[in-house]
Amino acid sequence: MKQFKLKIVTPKGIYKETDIEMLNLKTTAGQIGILANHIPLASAIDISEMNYIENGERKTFAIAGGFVYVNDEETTIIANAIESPEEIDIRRAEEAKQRAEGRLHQSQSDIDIMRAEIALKKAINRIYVKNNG
Amino acid sequence: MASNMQSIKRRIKSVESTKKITKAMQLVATSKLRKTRNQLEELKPYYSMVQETVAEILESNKGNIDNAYLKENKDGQTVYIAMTSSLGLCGGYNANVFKTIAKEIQDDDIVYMIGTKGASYLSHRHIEYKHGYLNLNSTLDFKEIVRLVGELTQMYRNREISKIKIIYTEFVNNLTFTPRVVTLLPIDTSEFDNITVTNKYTVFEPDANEVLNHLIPMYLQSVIYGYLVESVTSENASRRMSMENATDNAEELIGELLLKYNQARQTAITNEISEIVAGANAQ
Repeated sequence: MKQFKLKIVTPKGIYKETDIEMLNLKTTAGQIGILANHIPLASAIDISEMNYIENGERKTFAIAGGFVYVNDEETTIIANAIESPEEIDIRRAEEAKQRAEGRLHQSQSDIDIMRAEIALKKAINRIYVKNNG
Repeated sequence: MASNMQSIKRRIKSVESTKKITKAMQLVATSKLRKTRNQLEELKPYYSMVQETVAEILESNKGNIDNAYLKENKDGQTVYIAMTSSLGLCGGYNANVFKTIAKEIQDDDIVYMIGTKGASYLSHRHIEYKHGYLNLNSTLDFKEIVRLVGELTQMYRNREISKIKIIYTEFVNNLTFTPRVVTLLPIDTSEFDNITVTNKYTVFEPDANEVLNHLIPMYLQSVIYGYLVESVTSENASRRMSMENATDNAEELIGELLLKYNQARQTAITNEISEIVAGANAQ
């Protein structure tokens, strides 16, 4: 299958730069798959599982929200945090989940509830990717 | 004469211990400077990628986008984020930022202060400030930045604030750093003039406005984080430079004092000899 360039950048630098055959991710509008020669596309990525196929091998990651930009030369993913199943600290994720749940029960203001919901979503996503990735 | 010699000796000792401190500070600042400079380099791909993407989207949709982040709220306060240091002995770094603060900030502005030196300056001038992010310059925690941006964008969307500006210290090179004021929101599209737009026909999923609502907070996070790391780099460079000067000055002073000490010693010896000779002649 034809390959295309994928670049993943985070605030800590370039996370990955590689040639892949297919990219699957969940945008805020829904699940999409990207193959080589895709039309230019810009979209926000949901807190979700993301995977790509590199030399026939599927690799999975947990992404804590971000942004994807496809153009003719390469596909770029801008993420605040991205981890492979091996990199996920399951204990930290479980703790974060409990903390977020606790805050959801106690919080009064809308902002606090929204923040706790996002934290909870990230934690659940990490745990899911760790167990299924 | 003897008391003079002793006082010079005491001064030499005190200058020497000062020199030890400034030398140690200089070494610490040098290694910290290397660390923050690396961090600044690592951040660059992320920062420039986000900026290019924002520029590309704004440029290719000029005039068609009606986004809250691009419009100034006419009434509402101005928010300033000011970056200073928490430690002293860093030359004119803080003083320069203070000058800019004094020039820029009006009485009814909201100030988010980073760094305790700036906080004590504002308290001294009886200006109120938000102190939730005072230690950001030592932790450099990206999560805190995300929280700060969340807070600011929320206020901006609620039309409580009209503008968001940042005062930081630009790192030009190891010897030059200048305080700068930059407007973060509303986004100034003229800043993107030097970025070339490669593709005009981009599909936005679900639409450009929605994409911008996600991308602009990310953009702010990366910009604020970049400026923060840059300011800390400037702080360390400034500290390294002033401590180097202090060490050099101490060395020079020690040299001068040593000369004075030896002169005093020599005078005392000559005096003693002439007294002995005079005594012997008298007999």
